[in-house]
Amino acid sequence: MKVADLPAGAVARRLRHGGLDLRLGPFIARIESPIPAVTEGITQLWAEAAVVERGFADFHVRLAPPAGLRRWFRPQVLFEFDGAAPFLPLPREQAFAFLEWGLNWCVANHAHQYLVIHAAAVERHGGVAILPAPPGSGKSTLCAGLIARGWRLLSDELTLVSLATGKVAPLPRPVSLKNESIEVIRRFAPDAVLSAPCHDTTKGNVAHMRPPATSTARDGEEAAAAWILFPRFRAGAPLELGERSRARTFMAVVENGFNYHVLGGDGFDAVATLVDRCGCFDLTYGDLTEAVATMDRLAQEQQ
Amino acid sequence: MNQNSPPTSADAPTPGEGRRSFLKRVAATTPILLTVAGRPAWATTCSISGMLSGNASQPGAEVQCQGLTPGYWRNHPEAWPTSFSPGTCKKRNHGGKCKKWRNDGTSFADGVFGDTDYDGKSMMRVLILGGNDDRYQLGAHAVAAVLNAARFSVQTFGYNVSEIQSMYALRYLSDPEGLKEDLQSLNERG
Amino acid sequence: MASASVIHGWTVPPGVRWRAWEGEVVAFHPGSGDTHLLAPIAGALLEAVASGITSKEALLRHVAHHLDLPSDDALAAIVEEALATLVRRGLLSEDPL
Repeated sequence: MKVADLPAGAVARRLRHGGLDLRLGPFIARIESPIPAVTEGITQLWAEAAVVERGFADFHVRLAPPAGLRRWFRPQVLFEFDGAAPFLPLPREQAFAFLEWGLNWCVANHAHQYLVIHAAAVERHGGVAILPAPPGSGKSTLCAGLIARGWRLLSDELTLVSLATGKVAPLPRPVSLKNESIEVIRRFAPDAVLSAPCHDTTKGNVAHMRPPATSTARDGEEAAAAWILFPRFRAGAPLELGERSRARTFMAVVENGFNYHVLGGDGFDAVATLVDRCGCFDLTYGDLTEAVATMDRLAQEQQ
Repeated sequence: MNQNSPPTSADAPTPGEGRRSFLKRVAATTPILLTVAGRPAWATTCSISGMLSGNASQPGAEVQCQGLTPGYWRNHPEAWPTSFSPGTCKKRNHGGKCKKWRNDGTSFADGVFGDTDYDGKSMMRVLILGGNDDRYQLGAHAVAAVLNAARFSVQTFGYNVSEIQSMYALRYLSDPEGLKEDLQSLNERG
Repeated sequence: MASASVIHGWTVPPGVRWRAWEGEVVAFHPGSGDTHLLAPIAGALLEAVASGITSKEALLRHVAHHLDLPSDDALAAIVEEALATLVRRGLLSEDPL
């Protein structure tokens, strides 16, 4: 059963009382929240997510107004994980984004059977392209563009590489888009489902794009890594695809690793195996259509 | 966090350059090109916060994990935790910012570590040293790290003051560059 | 530091891991958790020591041959610095033979 299959009002009811249990790739998250924005976000952007019957959950999270006297002028929301609050509160209108962000944190800290990399992962013809990138490099825009053109989304933010199999495990969740990217994707993929932008005073607007139903439906299917590709968006720039040395790719993956330091020598071995298997590239692009076409060609060539 | 710089000309021979001269040129570089420092497991909480922060906090509100740079502490003497003094100002510029500090603030010896070569300078005076007098900018980052440890809780910054002092004492001679990189990665998480 | 009258050799301490691709070497030090990208000579030295070459003379010869460089005083000085750096970072261990 998917979220979209629940009867009207059931999402809000379960979130307010007892929690809504959802499958999150390899994990089960129990989510509780009285905040309407969370209900709306889940209803719209997690429509295809699988609802699980109440039982064991990997993560218990709650988004609610902070307890105690309200000292702040604007209403706030607090993220709680297993009863503790690891982060300071944010403005209440950011509650859904806070849920997304907080769940990423939960996975990154509690998924040590995987090497967790700060990267997007998308799959075509059986091969996964891993796109590590710091914020602002255009990773999410490229990711959104690719999944709008037939690539499967494994993850927008956290790439999970199984230590046991070496394959990438899916964690398909809404793709976060900022500022100009929101418009770019609206034009590139008019049929894509986007949340209403959340206005954030220091970083601008943030919106989330719902992953394609097929990506969510296949969230149990691991796939083999084939490329590690570093995107860089430069407005007006001609497309450039260049090879990056494996050793330098290795260091960049380590820099973007969330739990590399926890894994010790096993982390080193996992990155080495990954780099061994993948073609390693830098991709500079100014036009999303061109970038998607280049990646399509790359995927075709490896067939 | 270290920068993984894009491949430079040191990584490939220039056109017409023979292999021998290329290697000789490369041989002149430092033996280790790049280091990603290990971190204790709990410190990943704060670095992850920073990396995942798709939505930023409101101005005035803090994110949970913090570290402030040497530049910040230099420009905000009023923010120094009460157990450390920046000293008094000898000369201000038109905007009110201090141009010249007297050497009467908490000494580097008291605040960070006593057995180093900073000529009895105060912490503030070490913060404003240039590269020639403060190799790798280690002194500046050590001062910033101590102030950060005093300003923020252990959960937020990751270390308390005596841990930073011990870290400095143990490594400043044997591995000043590595120590500076580690302190820098802690300080640059605002 | 080594004194002139004692001969030293180098070994790779247990737990250190490394990999090489196209002449570039990455190495991991378990105690500190540090991961390093080594310059060509340092990388060649680590690989050489790992393969069982332990004395300074043999390491110098190996590097000169492997990287096609003249085995002169300049190279010897570079090799000495690289070995000292690798020891400082815990990637090599320096022991009296």
